[in-house]
Amino acid sequence: MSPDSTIVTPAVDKAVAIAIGDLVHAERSADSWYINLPLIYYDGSFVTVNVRQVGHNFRVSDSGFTWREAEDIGISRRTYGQIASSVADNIGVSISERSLYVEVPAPMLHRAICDVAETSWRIVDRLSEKAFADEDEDELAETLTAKLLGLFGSEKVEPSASVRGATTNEWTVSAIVKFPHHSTVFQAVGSHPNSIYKASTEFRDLANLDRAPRLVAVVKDAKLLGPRIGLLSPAKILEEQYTDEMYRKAAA
Amino acid sequence: MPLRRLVDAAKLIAVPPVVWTPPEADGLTRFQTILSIDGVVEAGLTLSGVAYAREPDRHVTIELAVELVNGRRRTRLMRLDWRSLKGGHSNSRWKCSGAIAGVRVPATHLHSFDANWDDQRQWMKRGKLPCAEPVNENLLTFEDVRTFVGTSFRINNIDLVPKPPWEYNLFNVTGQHDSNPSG
Repeated sequence: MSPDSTIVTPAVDKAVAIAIGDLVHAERSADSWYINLPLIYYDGSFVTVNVRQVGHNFRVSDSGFTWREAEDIGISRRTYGQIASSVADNIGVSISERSLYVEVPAPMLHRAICDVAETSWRIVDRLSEKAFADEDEDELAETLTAKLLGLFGSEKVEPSASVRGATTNEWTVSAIVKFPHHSTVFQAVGSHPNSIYKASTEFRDLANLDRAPRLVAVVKDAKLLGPRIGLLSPAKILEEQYTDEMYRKAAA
Repeated sequence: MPLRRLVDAAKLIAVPPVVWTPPEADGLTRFQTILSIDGVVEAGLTLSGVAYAREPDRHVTIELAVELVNGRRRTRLMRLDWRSLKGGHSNSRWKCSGAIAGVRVPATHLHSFDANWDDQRQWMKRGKLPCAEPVNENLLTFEDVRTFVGTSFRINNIDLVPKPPWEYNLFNVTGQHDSNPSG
């Protein structure tokens, strides 16, 4: 017997039985069942489907939970619709305004439950990746704004300001510091590529204005951006922990 | 105000009454109300709740959150999920620490501030309060939930939150929760 092969003990049997028993939960609710599956959304909640009988068939739906997950992380209805349609089409799941669903006869119920659950998980996975990119940036913007307010005062600093670029697109920047003869845009930039690409486009649009503001990108740690940091080139780049004096110089 | 102070301070619902919205097409109803600390309304500090009209006596979420100066997004501070139809919560093995790391907690659970605070970054952990702990108290009714939230979230006039506009019928009064027919 090799050292790796051991006898299956009662402890293993018990641990595995408990884990398996915990993989799927089901709860009856009025005329339907809620089934919690071993697929976990980014936030730790379980992908859950609802099964109810409709005539001779069974309707399996996500009960609107996918949209609610998206709504909860600030995703617009339009973005949700775009992502949800492309994912659901590939798996053969239908979409109504609020829910994902399929209707099947009993022999297909197992697969239908899996399909609706997979669709829901894939949609939320794609949307949450986008939301996390913003979260990183939002957190940095928060500390940046507090720093700028401390350095320049609330009469000069406008947090979450809107600025129109040369293309007439409107950008919401982390903050603008206004001086008598010029203004300086400070933009928090997260390490996620989406955050970098967005800032890059914004900076180029603002730099093309006739009276372009000074541009400052603030990052947590320049190393985390890798070679993409070059995309921020129209702007000066500060790290979050730089001294007050460096922030003053960048704004001036 | 530092996030921990917002959680630790005694708070009051600043502008009663608290009203649940008319149920949407899927039955979802919610409330949101602003809070005060030491008699001053704290900008952006909110208590909110979500329930489903057609799912009485379960699937209630109550959350404390704040919108900060630059907040395009709420920063969540604490949340209670009561008898969630999504079957509890699975804690990440690496985002959560201590006894709750990598375990599944029941359908009633608390996403506490401490479990979701990242000491290194001095901010909340990424995600929607990713770590939850079981609730030891037996919360049988909405009134029990409200009292628990008042104590945990330190909101002294929590009784101003009314019961959700639940629609009872012959089928949805089950009294059975957290069942697992697979055993």
